[in-house]
Amino acid sequence: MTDPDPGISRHAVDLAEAEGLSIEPVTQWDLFSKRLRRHKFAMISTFFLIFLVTVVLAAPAMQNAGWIDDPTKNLFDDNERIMRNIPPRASSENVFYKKVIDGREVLLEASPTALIMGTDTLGRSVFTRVIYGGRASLIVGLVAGFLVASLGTIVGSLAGFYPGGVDQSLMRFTDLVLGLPLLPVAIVVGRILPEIEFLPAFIRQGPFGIAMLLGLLSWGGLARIVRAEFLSLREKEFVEAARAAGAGDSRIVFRHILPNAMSPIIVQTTLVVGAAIVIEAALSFLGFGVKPPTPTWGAMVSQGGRQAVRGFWWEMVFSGTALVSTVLAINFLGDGLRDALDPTQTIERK
Amino acid sequence: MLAYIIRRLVYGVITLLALSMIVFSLLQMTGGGPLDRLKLNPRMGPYIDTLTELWGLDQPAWRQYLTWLKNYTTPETIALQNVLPVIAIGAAIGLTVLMAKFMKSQWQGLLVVGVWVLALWIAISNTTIKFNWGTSFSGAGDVWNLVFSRAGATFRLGLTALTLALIIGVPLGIYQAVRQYSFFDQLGTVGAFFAFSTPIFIIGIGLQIVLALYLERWTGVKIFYVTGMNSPGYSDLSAIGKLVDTVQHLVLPAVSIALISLAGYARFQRSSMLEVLHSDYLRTAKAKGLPRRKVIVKHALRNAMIPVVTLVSLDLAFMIGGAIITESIFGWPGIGRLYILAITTIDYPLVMAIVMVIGMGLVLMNIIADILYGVLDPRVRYD
Repeated sequence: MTDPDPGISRHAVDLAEAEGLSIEPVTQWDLFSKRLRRHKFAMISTFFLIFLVTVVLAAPAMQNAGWIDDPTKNLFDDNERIMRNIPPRASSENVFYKKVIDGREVLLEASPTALIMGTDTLGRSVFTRVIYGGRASLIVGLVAGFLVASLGTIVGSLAGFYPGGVDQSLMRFTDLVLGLPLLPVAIVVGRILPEIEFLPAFIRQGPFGIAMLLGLLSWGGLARIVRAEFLSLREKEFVEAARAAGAGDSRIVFRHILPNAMSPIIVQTTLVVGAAIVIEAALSFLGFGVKPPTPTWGAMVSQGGRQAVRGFWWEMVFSGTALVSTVLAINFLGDGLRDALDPTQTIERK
Repeated sequence: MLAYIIRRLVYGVITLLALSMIVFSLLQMTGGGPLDRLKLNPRMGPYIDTLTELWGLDQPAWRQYLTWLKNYTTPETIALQNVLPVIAIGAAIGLTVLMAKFMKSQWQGLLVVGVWVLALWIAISNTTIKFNWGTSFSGAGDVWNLVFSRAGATFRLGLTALTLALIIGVPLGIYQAVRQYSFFDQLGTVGAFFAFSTPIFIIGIGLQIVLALYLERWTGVKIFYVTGMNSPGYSDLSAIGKLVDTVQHLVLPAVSIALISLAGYARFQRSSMLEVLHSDYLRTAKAKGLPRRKVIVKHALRNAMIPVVTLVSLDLAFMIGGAIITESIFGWPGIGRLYILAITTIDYPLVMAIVMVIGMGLVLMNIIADILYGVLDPRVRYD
């Protein structure tokens, strides 16, 4: 019989296994994934978000393949009447949409999924618009999250690592940004944005401008958290040891302090992503967000709400459900990450 | 303490200046300018130049800003109705000096703020004061009068929402903490997650459709109203009728603002209560044989309430945002809806006035909350 690990005596391995203990090395990543997997809601949310991102990214490809329709094209029935406010139904037989080919208007057959969620008041497929609406939310969440994570970390770590003048001036600036009323300012920018001529068109019209605006306005909270982390970590023995060993500022920050401050950064960024998606939806709802005809969930709830009053509930219900479940999934994931990244938490054996 | 309050006020003024500059320069970036809409009207043609000159739109932007700042901050008319304002302000100054000299209690800061709020309120209500906040570009009249005629409605809505959120959210959190891991606790946690994740406009429209429209359709009785603050025939109603009418209009918008904050307070109160319940001094209190009720009410509750106070102040910004959205859903004649109208027509003076009123409210509430925090928690020191 060959010993699997000559460093450990067979006897010790037997003893450990008899007591139900493992001698396998346990890495931080193992602990993290083990804790996250215990959080059922977080796991379901992760799968949901992966699914959502895949579907949303694949939307143009699916449209090219003919699985879903053009989100901005009206649907017609075989008598060429626009199909306004048609309730959800199983089949899309005899449903078309108009397209101009070589200067001539032709009726193309709509996809089988066209009416799965009904049509809106302009005769567009709600199903397609819900899928395309996710693109705006996703872009806003990711871009704003990236901006907040980078700005907040940079400002917070500079303030926390260099006390005195740098800290004071950066934190006063952070207080100022935090003191701005977010929604009123965002509304002004959302209203003005399309009219600012020197900006490129994709910022003026699309979700990128709104995303950058929200990112620039909401990094203050993270900066405060990162600064507090740096203030306490800077005084720890291991940082002192690194300094004694001759490490420079950048090595101490990037190799010793920042990895230890990662968990609040990740958790806070996750929460900001959820909040940014909600605010973008609110701006679009009020009409100051992404400009039509680009579909967004917020604008769909706004338009669908007016139809729901008349009994046509589907546009509002489906777009609202998409929005709420996405934000819910992000918040659950944030909660799970907070639990999983907390090194003081122990996994009780069951 | 006094030095702290003064320093915070100075920072507050700087924040407000920055806010006004940001919004003002944003408004300058609009493509056509504020008179675009008026130019569409052929009969306005001869007056455009006059208006441009009257409103100073031919001036360079920085001069426009300085003019606005001067007009915004200096009273246009100020007249005392009686001597009360002088007495109130004098008494406030005297009390502040006395307290700074002789009072060593943790309540000092709060007393100072309280005295000044009271004194300023007496002073303002006995003075005829008016600032020149400009004339609305979209023809809605004098901005000062406009803003203050709408402020009452927003206050009514906001205060109701805040009260609802506090009197439901805080006890809910306490109950959840005391009965941790019970069915009710789990339900509350999941419910809070749903409330956080639901944007306020979905709650608002949902309540409007289900509780106002469909409920009326099913029961045939009008229980809640969809829009407005009062019914058209409000002035003819009896006193009780007026109250019922007001409540019927107020409940749905207030609930839609309160719901998300309520979930936040409950969640926060629960975790802060749990922390206290697991502390050493609470174990001591239990060990020496105090009844459970007394342990929770006298020992735990006092300390567990402190963090919620700060949350309320931070929540105010969120509530203002909520009020803007809710007011436009429910047609509530408050500042929020006025703001949306002003932004849509790019009405410079109105937008600036409302943004600054909101900003001032935020700055003041943050200062009061920080002071209150120090009063409730003697471990907090300001220097």
